Amino acid sequence: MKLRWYHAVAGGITLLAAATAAGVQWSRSRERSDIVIGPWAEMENRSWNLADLNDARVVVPDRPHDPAEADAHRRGSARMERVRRFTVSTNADHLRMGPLAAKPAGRIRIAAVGDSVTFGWGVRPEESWVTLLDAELRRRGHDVEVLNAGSPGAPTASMAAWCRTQVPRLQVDRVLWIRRVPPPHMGGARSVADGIRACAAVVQARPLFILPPVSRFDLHGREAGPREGGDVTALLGADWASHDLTEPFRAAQGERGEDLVIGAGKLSVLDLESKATWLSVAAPAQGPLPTAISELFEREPEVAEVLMYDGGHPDAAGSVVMAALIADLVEPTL
Amino acid sequence: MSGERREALWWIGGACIAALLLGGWLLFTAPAFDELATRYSVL
Repeated sequence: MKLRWYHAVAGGITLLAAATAAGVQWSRSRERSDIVIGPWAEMENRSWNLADLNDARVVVPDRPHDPAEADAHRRGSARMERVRRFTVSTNADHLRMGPLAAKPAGRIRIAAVGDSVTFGWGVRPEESWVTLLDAELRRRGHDVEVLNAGSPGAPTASMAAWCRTQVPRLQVDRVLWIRRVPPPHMGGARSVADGIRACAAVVQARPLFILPPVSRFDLHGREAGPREGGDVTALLGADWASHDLTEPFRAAQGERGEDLVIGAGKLSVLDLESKATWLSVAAPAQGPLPTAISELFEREPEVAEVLMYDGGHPDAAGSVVMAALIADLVEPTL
Repeated sequence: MSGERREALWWIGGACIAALLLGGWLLFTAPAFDELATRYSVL
């Protein structure tokens, strides 16, 4: 075939498009999170941490946000600059911790069963509250070992399945059930009560039911949070207690960083130190954080909630606070 | 339309369609992290 000018034009267009696509995919891959969870046959085929991960990369928003922003970032139609990177390694038992040794006689093995907050989403393993709790209880003279049985996004049914399948296998003596109550379409209080019962059936001591702190910038959590513990204990029975960490965590936050003030049909971002208001917007009836507030966080790096980085997860300093609060709850039961 | 112009149109049009398909693929492919609940947003 004789080469004509239009062959060159068509080839140029195709090459340019292919090169652009390759460049975009390459730049995305540098910022892309690795997969860290998947179905686990041994755990009733439910989703849990993958085993034997070695420094898997995860990139997450480092500020409160609407999940749609993350979707837009992944598609490339918008960009979040305020991000946090961390790595994830897991052991052969699908836990975000080092390999488990055989349990010595006399040692109490405690499993912290939870979701991303327990997993240590956004912090290094040595900064996670589970690692700090383990160190704190040992410092107080207890021969314990705390297992990090947290998995990001874990539904209550997966936590229950972890108890059923892993508690006997790993010779766990105590269970800490740590998770906010999911909304009704994800099982609600009933699923939590069922999960706690499933864990209680496989350990001798009664599981501790702990609710991690709700962020000041979590609109759903602030609305539903105060009822959650009571809704579950009402199903479990009068002799059960819930331990919501929100109030003591807020006390530790003190008058520092930013707060979201809800009132008079408005949401206002307030600087707790200067008492200045960054902005006020009409409060949505429900749903994610308004765009104007997301934009404020993106624009002003100093706008931040103290001890929590993304409207749901404690940062390294917040994990220290959580570990101390939980150590005080666990110690009397040892 | 001359034979050469028609052929040029086919070639360049085809290249443009291929470029558009690549662009669409880029727009709609996102890292597969759907296992996570959206609350735990992953980039």
